[in-house]
Amino acid sequence: MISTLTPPRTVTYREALREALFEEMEADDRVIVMGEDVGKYGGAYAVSKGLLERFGDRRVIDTPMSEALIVGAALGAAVVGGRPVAEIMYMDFVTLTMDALVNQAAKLHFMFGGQLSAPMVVRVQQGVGRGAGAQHSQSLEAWFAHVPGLKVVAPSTPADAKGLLKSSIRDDDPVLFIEHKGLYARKGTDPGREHTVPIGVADVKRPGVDVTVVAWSNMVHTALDAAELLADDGIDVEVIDLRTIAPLDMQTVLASCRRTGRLLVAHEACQTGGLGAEIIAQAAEHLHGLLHAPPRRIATPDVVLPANTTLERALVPDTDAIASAIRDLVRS
Amino acid sequence: MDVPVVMPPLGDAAGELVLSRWFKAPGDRVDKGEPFFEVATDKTESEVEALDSGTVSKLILPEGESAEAGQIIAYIDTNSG
Amino acid sequence: MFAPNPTMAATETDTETLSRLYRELLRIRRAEEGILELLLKNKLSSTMCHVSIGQEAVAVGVCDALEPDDYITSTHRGHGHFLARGGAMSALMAELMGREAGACRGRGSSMHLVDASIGHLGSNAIVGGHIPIATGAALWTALRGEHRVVASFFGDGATSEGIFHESVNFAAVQRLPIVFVVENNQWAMSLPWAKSTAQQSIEVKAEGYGIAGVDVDGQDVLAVRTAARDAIGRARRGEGPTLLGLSTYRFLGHSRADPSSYRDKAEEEKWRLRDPVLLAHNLLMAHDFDEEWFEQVDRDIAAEIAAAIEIAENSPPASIGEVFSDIYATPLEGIR
Repeated sequence: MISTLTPPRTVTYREALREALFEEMEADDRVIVMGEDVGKYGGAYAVSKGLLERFGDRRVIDTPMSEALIVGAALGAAVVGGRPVAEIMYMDFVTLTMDALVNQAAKLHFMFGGQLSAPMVVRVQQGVGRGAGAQHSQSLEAWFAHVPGLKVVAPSTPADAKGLLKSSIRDDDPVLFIEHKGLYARKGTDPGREHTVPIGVADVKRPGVDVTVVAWSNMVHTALDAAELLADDGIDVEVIDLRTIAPLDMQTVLASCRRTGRLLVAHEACQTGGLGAEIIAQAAEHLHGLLHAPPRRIATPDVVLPANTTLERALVPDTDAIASAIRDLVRS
Repeated sequence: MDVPVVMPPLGDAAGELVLSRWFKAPGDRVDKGEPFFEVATDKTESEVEALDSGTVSKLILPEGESAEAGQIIAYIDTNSG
Repeated sequence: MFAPNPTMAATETDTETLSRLYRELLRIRRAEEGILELLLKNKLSSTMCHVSIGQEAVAVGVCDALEPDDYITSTHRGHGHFLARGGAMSALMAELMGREAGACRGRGSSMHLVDASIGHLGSNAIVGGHIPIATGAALWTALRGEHRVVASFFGDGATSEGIFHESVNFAAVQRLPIVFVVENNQWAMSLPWAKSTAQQSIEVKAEGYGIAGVDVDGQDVLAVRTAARDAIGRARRGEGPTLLGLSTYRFLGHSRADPSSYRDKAEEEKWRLRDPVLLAHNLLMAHDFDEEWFEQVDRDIAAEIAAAIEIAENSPPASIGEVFSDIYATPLEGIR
């Protein structure tokens, strides 16, 4: 029995993901991992390190550089009884897998009259932070929110990462599991074994009464930092972490907005057609007359991201930019 | 018995289905599988065969006019002949 | 490339097998003729409909060589694969007519057919889109040591897709139990095979991947069956995939709206002499099957198709309510 005096163990986001994979692979021999360099190399961001040694090369499969094949074959394995977790190294490379994800995995259950299902997870990571440039930094989650049949999650903390990965692996539908390269080293409370987080449920990461800020993935932490900054000015910010991108938990968002009367959506993806547009559209449809100020979004402008950390930092909304946007909202 | 002949849903989208040509006139004998009429879509022209054998009793849609898919365009009397 | 000639390989085959194959060839031919009639009568739920008339020996020869536990994946031109694999005639007709009794409960129509109970993992409307799915199914059966084989049907056009290369390459490296069936009907819509590829031999293509490959007369159902048995046997013994090149011909247009004006009529006539149903018919005649036997087969098939259409017509149309509830296999506990 653990003493309540023992400080809770902390884990990194990376370790939490790895533990989720370990635990699910131990619990269910149908769970396999496949992708580029997931074996001996341990994954491009070291998430699958140790899996090959523990589970062997029949369950941890290094594939050729064939992204479309990786997702398509994961789907095939899922259709006949497997529960594959495929890794696509960068969200940007998901463009190479679009048929398998969008036309096949997302459609199969409904299209075939419910006869087949696709219990598979596609793990990707996205986002800025390393000056990785135009082809290794994009945040493309909104594309997949537009595809009925896919579930899309983007956790921000180690506990959510672990809980959502376990839920995703156990889910009978295709889940696009979006990690963030800026989060792997982030520490958080270790939720322990058997921690799951339901898909489709947002989380209030910080309660507040003056303004609702909706964010996901790494931007949650930027929003929380901005909220701390504004607390000194007497502005009480509620931060909602969507956690699931599709289907959206708008009930949590709308309920919060009804209390605060103000909404800001912050995202790292570029602005036009980003998820912020959908959230604000739904807020406008449901909250007419209840908001004290027009809802706002803050996003990376519609630019091609440069492979240059200085320029990257100048483009992506940071703590000060979010704080300033919140101040404007509260003043109006 | 008069069996209806309908405009077939040729072409892929919302384009017009034009009866470009009748190969038979009222009173003509027609056999199943024989070319009966031609349909022009925005893409191409297609010959359509008769699906029943008999005598053409009525041609409803004049050549050069369009019809919706499923609309009755002729009758074949299957008792005759 | 295989050059058509109007005879059929005099393979030693028992007449029971031959008559079974003939019956299946004719069953598919008549079913698709019936489907075209339903289309012209505007009774189908979708205008998208591709028949495989002329290509039946591919479906029949390959499926006859499979075991009940094996899997297939199929294409937008997949009525024949569905029937040859053992799919119910009524499930096919009801699907095309948009009814609940359809293979996909009226949601898939001609291009999406499925029957998991017989290992039919779905026909696909994206050219080549199912090849990696078949490969993944083969990966899973290999990992589990199940001794199942996957046959993935696709056309000549699909060999130009990148996913064909990715899938064959991976299956080759992993020595997966899969047969890639190149159902080469010579035309990728309006593009001839010679303009799709500079290497028209499937056998030579296979060499590049380090796997077995053969070029076979796809109009000769016995030749198809023999080659398929060889390939399936290799796969089941753990000797890896085969590229099975079957030369065939789509007797009609790409769809009913396509008069195939891009094809040379002499070429069409030449291939019509190689009608797989006719070839099998002639071989049975040479084995002393009489007119009475053929007429009985005709009647049996006509009765089966008529009964299937009746079942379809009596089945309720696909319901609109489930287009929302059936998007996911796992309902969301979080969505309130």
